[in-house]
Amino acid sequence: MRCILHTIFFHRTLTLVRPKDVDCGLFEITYVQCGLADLEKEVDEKINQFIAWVEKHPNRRSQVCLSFFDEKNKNPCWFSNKTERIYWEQWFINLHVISPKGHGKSHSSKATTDLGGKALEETSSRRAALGLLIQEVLFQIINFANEKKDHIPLISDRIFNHEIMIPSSSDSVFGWNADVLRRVLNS
Amino acid sequence: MAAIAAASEPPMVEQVITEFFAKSLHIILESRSPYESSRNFMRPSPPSSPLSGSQPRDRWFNLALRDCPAALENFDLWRQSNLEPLVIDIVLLHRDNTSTTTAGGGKIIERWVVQYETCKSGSGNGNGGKNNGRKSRNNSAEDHSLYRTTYQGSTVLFRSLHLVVRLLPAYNLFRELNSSGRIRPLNLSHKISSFVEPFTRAEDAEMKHYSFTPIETLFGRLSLSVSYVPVLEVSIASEPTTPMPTELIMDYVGSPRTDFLKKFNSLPSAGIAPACVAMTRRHSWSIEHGSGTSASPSPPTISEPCGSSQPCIPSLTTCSHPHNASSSGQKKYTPFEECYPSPPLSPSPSHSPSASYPKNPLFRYESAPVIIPTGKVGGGSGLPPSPCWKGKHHLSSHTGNLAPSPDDNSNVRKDLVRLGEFESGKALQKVLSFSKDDLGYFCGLKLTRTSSKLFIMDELDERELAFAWEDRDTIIDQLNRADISDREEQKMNQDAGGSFTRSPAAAIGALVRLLKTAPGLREGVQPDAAPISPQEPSSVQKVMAEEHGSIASGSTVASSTVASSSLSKSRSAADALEELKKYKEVKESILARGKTQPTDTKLGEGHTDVEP
Repeated sequence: MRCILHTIFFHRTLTLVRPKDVDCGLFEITYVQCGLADLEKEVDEKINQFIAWVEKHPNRRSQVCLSFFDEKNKNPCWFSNKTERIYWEQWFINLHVISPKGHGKSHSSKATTDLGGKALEETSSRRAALGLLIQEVLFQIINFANEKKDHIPLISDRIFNHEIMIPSSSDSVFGWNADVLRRVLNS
Repeated sequence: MAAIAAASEPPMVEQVITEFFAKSLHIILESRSPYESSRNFMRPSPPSSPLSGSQPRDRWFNLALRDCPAALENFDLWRQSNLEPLVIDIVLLHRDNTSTTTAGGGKIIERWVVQYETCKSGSGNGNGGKNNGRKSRNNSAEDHSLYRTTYQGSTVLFRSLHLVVRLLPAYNLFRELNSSGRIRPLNLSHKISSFVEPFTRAEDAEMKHYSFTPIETLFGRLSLSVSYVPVLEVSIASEPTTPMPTELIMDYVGSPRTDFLKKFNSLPSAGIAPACVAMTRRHSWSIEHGSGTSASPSPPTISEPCGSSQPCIPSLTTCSHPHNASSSGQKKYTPFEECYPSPPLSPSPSHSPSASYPKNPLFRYESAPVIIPTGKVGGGSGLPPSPCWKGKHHLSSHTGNLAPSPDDNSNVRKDLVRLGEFESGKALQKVLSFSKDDLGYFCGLKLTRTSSKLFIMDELDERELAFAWEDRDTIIDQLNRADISDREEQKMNQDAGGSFTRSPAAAIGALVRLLKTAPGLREGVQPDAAPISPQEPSSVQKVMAEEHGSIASGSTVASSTVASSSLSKSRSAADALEELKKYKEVKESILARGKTQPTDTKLGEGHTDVEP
């Protein structure tokens, strides 16, 4: 998650940055961060919230949405002065977090050892496959980020307005859709 | 054509195109050129402010990178035209047996091609209404818009490039080569050219291709593509001749001046305890050394148990030094063993092998010719393996014989003595060495009754032995005051009616201070070794005889010293130092006397102790 989010941010943070290489030893991937402490903190917080949600809702498909928007003042009304968010880009990251299953009972210690060894092999192969998948995702992000750039606002001295939406605890089966629906109704 | 095409682009866009090539080269070489980027590899990135430390060129495309590699320094001069493609080949080189990289014999694992492609149809102004939007350069606003589009697009592209260069297989190889200081059989190099040399069919079949989305400009487009080998089957193992990496020696002894003090100051227990600890550490260190080869500078009495009973612990690096140090002194050590094949009374080095081995590292640290009277080590001593070593031998035998007590503390005490010697460099040797018999005193008396006998049988006459025997209690007291004590000594003192009342830490600290301030012995020892050694026994005898014979003689210094040594046990370290100095004076006087007076080899048995 951190790798994907930071890669997207890196492509959309067009202010002067000093890239920071981060080694993801788990998947043997080196990705790049913008090197902005605030951004890193925000991403970490969101990821922690997401992890908390996943722990409460195991083995469920979920989606994390990273949106970039501009804020514009709506036509001021006599009773409100709302600002309107105009999303100019949204990235949807679909996830399916699978909890590792426990090992079944074994009849002998040897079987347990074999089972443990097999589980280790499966874990490492799963990890390798996940690493390749992440690499593919990163290339996808690169392609998407470079495919269309005309919609990107002018480069300013600060990063673009953004928000990271994760499934919240209060969400029902619809996940984050309720939050999106609420926002649409508000707008 | 080139000039026209170049002129057709707005100047701002032309500048973007120029910087596009430079930035591409910078990003690629930064992560592919190990030695050029290693200069700035550890350059810290200011996390808080990317602007700080950034050079003007860094601001291009808002991507601050490390300092420009060497290839970029002349890039602007080398680059003739933006119309020429920039081809960067990343070459994998194999070092041959001569440790030289074979130029031109490498394999191209990546090829980056950066080029500005002009549109065939577009050239100059007024070619037709169909291209009005692109050709029109009438107002600066449009130029600015074009510039913004080109610049922003390039900015995003370079973000992607910065990421892609790290996702390709060559990056891992680059990091491996760049991070390790080892000599590798592989090397990464690059070749910059302005033409694309076509691959062979086999190479092309092996390569994968990836192209970035081109950046459209007014009259062309900027394109960036890479052809790379997807799988690099190379072993990055270092050569066999690679020097050993720096190893952390956990039980490194270090300078006795520091470690000794640390150890001694840290432990609140008896004064010998820290020595014990130090000994333990050195034990492991020298044990390995001792057990390594027969040439190890360990006394025969101790090396055996060391070799047999103690595990090899430290690394080879630990051993190498002493081993190397001892290699030259090997011959010296052997004669010691020959001269002193075995202690007369089986000193039980097995009881406390730690007692003896510490000498070895100590001596080694002291650098070769430190003559430890205990001597079996040869302690790196530069003294020739002559009979003059006997004194040391006997001294060492004493110390070795100190060991016989089942209590390791005796050995610790002995080690303490050795440590002191080692630390002072020679001072303690002078004071406690064979030559002056102070240690003879000490050893003679430190030794338990059993060891004193050993002492005598090794090097001294029975008279000396008797003398030592008789002066046992006196010298024990002196030793106590000199803060050279351990539990066994305490026992001895108790047996002799004395008690060690000083705190162990204070005692040891005092001894350490004493040893530190003591002048070096080496200069005096070596030249004196030969002449003195034969006289050692006689010196000892003289001392003992004098002490026995006449309290009022020239050895009254010693006697007075002895007398004064019967003061209260609880004396300060300064007192002990004073006493030690007195002993030194006694030693010197005896030495001087020994040269002039005939040897009196007869020791009266049953002589009374020289006590006030």
